Amino acid sequence: MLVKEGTPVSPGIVIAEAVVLGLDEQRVPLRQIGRGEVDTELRRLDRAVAQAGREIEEEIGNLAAGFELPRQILGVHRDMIRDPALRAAVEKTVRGDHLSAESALARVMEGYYRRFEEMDSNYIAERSLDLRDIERRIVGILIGKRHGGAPQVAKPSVIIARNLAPGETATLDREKVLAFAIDVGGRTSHTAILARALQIPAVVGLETISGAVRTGDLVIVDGYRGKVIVQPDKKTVEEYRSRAVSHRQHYQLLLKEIPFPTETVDGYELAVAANIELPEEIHSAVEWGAAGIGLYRSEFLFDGADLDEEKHYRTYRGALKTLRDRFMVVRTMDLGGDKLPGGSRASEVNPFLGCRAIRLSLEQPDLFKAQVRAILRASAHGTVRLMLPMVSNLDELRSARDLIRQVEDDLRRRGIEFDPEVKVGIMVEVPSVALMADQFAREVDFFSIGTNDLIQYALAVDRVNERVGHLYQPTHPAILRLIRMVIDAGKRNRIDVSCCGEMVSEPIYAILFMGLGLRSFSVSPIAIPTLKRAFRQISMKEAVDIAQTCMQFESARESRRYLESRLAYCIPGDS
Amino acid sequence: MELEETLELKNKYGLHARASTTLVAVTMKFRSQIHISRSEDSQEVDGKSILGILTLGVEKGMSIRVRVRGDDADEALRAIRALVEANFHED
Repeated sequence: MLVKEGTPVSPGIVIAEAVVLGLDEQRVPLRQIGRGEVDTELRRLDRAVAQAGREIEEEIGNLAAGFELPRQILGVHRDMIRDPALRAAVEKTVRGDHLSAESALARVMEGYYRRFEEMDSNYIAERSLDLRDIERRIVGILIGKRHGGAPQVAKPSVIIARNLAPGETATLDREKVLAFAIDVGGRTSHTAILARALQIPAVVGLETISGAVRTGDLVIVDGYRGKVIVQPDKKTVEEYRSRAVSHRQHYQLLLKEIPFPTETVDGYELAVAANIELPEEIHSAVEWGAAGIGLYRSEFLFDGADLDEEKHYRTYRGALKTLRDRFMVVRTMDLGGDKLPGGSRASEVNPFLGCRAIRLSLEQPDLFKAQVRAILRASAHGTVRLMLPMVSNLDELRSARDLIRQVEDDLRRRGIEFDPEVKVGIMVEVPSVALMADQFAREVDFFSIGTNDLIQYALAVDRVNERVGHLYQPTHPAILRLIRMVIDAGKRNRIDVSCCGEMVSEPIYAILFMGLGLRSFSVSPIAIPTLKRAFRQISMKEAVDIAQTCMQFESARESRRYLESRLAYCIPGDS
Repeated sequence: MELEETLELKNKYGLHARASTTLVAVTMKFRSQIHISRSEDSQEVDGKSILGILTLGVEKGMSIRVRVRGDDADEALRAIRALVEANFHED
């Protein structure tokens, strides 16, 4: 029995046989052909290309409505496969170098990869990934091994692979594919995002899973904890079986929660909103009963040549349409220079503490104003709030607000409609802001506490560093004090305070914060019902009591232990 | 018949993948040979090749030179011009 750990990116538990997908880096054997074989090779090529084209058309056809992203990707693949210049180049290579169809294709593709990867635009450079995908597909057909496209799975299985191209994840037959376990990737990689949107359990970043499993092996995929167990023993299988059952029951219970108002036993109303990154997730958010979008991570809209104001505007407007009268908080770009398309590729030694988010925005005011413009224009169509990330001092805040005012003046001059009452708030993630919460509260309309980064900055811990990850303690007494400081300042200055960090998706922490005075939360859509359920089973009085008790402890360990025992009722098994 | 025209791209993304797909869907309809280049370069690509178009790296605000040769050159050029003016239907 082998236990591998990775990043859980889509929840669920699956116990099934594995199918290991064909290798990403396949070696195409270099095969020479005789002069008389040229025509045969070209016929092979044409047949393979035609088949590949048909497969893609079928996959596009099988996509449910609304999957715009995969549809576009597959459309580009289809055009690439049918590209006449590609065909001409491969033919020339077959004839001139006497190579087999697959060898010639590999050689021509190599040339394209180089050209694409050298291009200035990050976006175009990334298209070389699409090329690799189609090369794999055509070569797979030529040499008779299935690669790419929908995995050939005879029965419901766990899909194991080194990597899965975006097009592949979206087209999988849900009946046959029970879960994913892949070597590469993280929470925000394409596979992860699509797996969540499709609600297929997935664990990524396992690094060596594709080498550790053989097709036919029994595996357990734990999408809650990010574990994959290869050839589990009987005891482990039993354990997971019962966990899976209780999760299913729990899921049914959760569905029932959705229509109820979110309030405590003693009638205190709470708001639970959703954190999202893709427009597709808005539907999930509404389905799961979100009060609104508490955090729209706008970074995913920056995947292109430049900031496309129209694209942003359209996306925000579309989102508001689905949300109807629910609110939406858009966080302006929280990226570093290296991730911004067209941005400087000069690497910083410590990008986490470097020029990113509001700092980068203030350095590139035109880019910032373009996004603000898109947000303000969208505000004419619904309730929008604008949020600034990583503010660390008052000057930054004031400069950003100046720029926002300039955009408002400009829109007014041009007679373009926008909501003049758009609320402007900040993420509270840098400790300096928490420590000066009163001063900041006077100059913004709302706070949203970003515990993920706040904890890292305050405790000086890199949570992904295995050596010190255990020091990332959400219930550290210092963190609780910072949180309380922020909530109190919010109260004194009468502004809304919310929390959009991962921490509050765990009911015991959410209740703790509620006891400290927090009334608004924003979590991943699927976490909403669980939270709601926990809130509905407790009284504010109790929560306040719990929080007061925790504030007396001297260590995170004590708090955690206390919370776990006092609130055992809202720890559903293990999710 | 050979025709040539320079068109300015006003759509925000320039010739990125989606716009290129839309362009190729149009150019493929015509029999004429179609060549595209960045207006300041002489390097031309086949207007029916999405890979070629992507390698041009045309960004927003740039212009492309479209050269069409064939018996349906007139229609082809008109169709391409209309597409560019419609900002590749990216609404």
